[in-house]
Amino acid sequence: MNHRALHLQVCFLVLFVAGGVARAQEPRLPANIRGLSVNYKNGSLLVSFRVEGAFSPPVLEKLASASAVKFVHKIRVVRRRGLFGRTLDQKTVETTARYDNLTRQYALDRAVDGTSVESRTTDSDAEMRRFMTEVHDLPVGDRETLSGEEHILVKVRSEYEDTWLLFLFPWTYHAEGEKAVDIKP
Amino acid sequence: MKKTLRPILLVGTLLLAGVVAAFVVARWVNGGELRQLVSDRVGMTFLMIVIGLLLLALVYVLLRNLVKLLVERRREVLGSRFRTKLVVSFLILCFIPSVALFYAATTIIAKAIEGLFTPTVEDLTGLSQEVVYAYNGRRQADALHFAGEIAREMTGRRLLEPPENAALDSFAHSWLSAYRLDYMAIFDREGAPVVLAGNLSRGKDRLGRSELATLLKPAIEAALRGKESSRIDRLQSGHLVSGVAPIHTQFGAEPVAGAAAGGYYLGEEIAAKTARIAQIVQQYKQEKAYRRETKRVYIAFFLLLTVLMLFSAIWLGLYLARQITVPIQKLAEGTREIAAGNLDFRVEAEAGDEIGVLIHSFNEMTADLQRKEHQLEERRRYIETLLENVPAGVISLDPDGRITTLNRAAYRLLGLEAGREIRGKPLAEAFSDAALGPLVEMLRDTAGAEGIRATRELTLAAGGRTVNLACIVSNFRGGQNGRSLGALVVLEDLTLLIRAQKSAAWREAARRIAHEIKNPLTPIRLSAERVLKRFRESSPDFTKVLEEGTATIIAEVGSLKAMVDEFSRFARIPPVSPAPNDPKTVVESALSLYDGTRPGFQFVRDFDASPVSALIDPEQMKRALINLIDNAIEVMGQGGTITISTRHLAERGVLRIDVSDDGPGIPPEDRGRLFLPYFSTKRRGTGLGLSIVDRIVSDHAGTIRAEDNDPHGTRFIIEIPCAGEPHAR
Repeated sequence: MNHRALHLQVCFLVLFVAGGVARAQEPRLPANIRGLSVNYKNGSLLVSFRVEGAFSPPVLEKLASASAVKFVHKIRVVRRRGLFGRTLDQKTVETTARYDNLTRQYALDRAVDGTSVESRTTDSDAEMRRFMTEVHDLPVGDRETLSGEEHILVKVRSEYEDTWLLFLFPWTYHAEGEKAVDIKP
Repeated sequence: MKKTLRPILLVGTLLLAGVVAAFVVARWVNGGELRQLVSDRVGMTFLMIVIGLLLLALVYVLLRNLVKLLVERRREVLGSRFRTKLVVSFLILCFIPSVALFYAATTIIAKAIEGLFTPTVEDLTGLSQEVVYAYNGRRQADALHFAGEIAREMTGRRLLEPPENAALDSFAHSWLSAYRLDYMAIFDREGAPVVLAGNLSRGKDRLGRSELATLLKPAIEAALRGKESSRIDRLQSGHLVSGVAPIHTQFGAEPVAGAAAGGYYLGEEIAAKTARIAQIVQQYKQEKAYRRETKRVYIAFFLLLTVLMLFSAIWLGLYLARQITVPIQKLAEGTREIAAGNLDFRVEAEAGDEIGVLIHSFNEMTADLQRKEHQLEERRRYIETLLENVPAGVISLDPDGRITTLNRAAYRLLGLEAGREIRGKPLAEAFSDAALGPLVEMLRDTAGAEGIRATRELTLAAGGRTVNLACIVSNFRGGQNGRSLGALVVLEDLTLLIRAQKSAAWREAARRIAHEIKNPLTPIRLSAERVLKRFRESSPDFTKVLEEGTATIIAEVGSLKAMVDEFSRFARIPPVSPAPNDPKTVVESALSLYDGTRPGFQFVRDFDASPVSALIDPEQMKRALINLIDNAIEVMGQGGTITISTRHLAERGVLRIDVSDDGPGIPPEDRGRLFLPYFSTKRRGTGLGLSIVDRIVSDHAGTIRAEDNDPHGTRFIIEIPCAGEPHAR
């Protein structure tokens, strides 16, 4: 047998087995995007939504252990044309909560595209949950990026828990949602 | 880079990477950095990718070698079975303990990690935190209560309104001492600090009005919205426990006129302890929250070690197997080359152990073979040269009757074309010329037969001339089972010899005939001259002389006639027709002629007890025996004993007939000429008797010879083939 062919066959076999097992163990997504609304106002899209079911037991456990818990909400505005939409604009909102088990307060932080926009503390669990999972009227896109667009798609992906598959492959639990919007200037 | 160096480098790199990874993980574990590692997503991902790649690489190398091994085994490559056995043995030897160790280690680690989170520890950490919460909660409740009291008093006295607000500072200090607070502060409707009583600059902490307003901002904002709250804030060295209550207006448009805050400063001693408790609880909870990741690192670490061990075992097995099988493959290749006749081939393989000794011995053996083959070749050429130059024709046949050797003399004697390739051809095809038929027939009869060494004289009219050949066939047997190796045929040219013998025989015959004719002629002449003389003399006894002379002439003419008749009989010997017959019957029929007719003679019969059948023409053989008996009687004269015996010589497949007498015997100088025609020691003998006997015996494919009898006399020995038995002369 040709050595090169043998190499290729063994490589494919190893990757096939590893990939197959990893794929077979991919968990289902328990969280959902709710209340996704998009308003076109002043040349920009105001996106609001909330994530339900993101506070899984592992997340709560990490939160209670005073570890920083971060949710990453990725909002993309995609042109609704053809098979593959073109991304017109995107924003990333990172919400972080860290519990202080001495003062019994949550330190909350929100950053948009890497820039901190809000930091505060609260002793309210409900407020912390809202802070982490809700996005209200986030402006995405502007007149320039949205000019000429009539049919667009707003896609939301909220990543709320990191885990590992097969002890080797990093994996992120996430929730996804999308909403089609027709812009009428 | 050498091709053999690449896998070694690859394996070495993988092993080194595995050892380094194991070392790094072990250092993290020992250095307590594992906790930071498992909570570091990027670091963990990097580590897992490294371990994963290592595992994939190791699995790839393992699978590649195993698949290659299986393919080679299926193709029955020399050494693949041994290699498979060695690798499988190593794998089994290493796999079971490695997997058992892996299982045990991961189980122990899992149990050890889970063992950290027992209900007792859980209760201990929970209760510790509850104690802190209770202590801090009590302080918070007090602070909130007094802040509320102050706020209500300020509302009742309208202390935030002029002119009462001028005395606010003194009120504040009096409340401070009255409620035994560490600080007390008033904030206006905007949240700005109006009064701050108490010392908040303790230890490393320095809190003024503005710093306090910033620190308590959420609580102040809540109070301005009419909601009271309490809180604990970490300062640089201590903790600040605060209660903030709204100061309501009595009649204003705004329901809240400001906020009153009061609280306690927990010094470094207490703050450090509560903070330490909180930190321990936090660490415990984090360990618990990340226990899966911690286990995963350990499992990955042990998995890596296990695969490294397995890989090392397989690679070691392959390496050792290759050290043995590669030289063996070279040796096998060498044997094939040598079997194909390539004695220049030498095995070149690097091996310093016993395999190396074997290779060295093999190469020496090959060199020795080459040397011996050279010697054999020289010897073969020498023998071929000899064969080509011997005057006798030599033909060798293989067991299948194919000609393997035919020397130049054989070509010449058999009248074959010099350049014609005969070797390898079957007998009939090689000697297809009809003139060579007798030779082919003889070889068919004798070649290949067991235990034959046949000699026969052949006259062949081959190649336009007639040759007389003495043909000697020897069959060879050898090997462990004594199978036939073929036959060797030697052809001796007797043409000149026979011609010379014939010439001598004819000279002798002429001399004897002249002598025999001359003998009667003298008395005839003398008788005729005597009769003539008496007639001329008119002798009175003429009649008597005439009668005597005539009688003498008639007697001598009769003698001449008898001699001529003898010659005629010799010339008219009928052809022999041998057929299976009982020799005893033939001998008996010859002896019966003499029974009672020869007084003084004794005829002794000594027959073989075993029944035997010989190829005999009864009449001819009887005639030969009568000749021999007559000779014996004539030699012995007055009487004697004549013995005729028969013996079956089974080992040679011949019948032996001895005719012996106890007469005077034959002088040695006459024995060589006994069977020549016209040789006789008798005064009146024709010399044809023994010639006739010899011819009859020859026509029976037999032999006759004369020996001295014991104690005296002559013994004629006749040997003829037995019926249905291969024979050798």
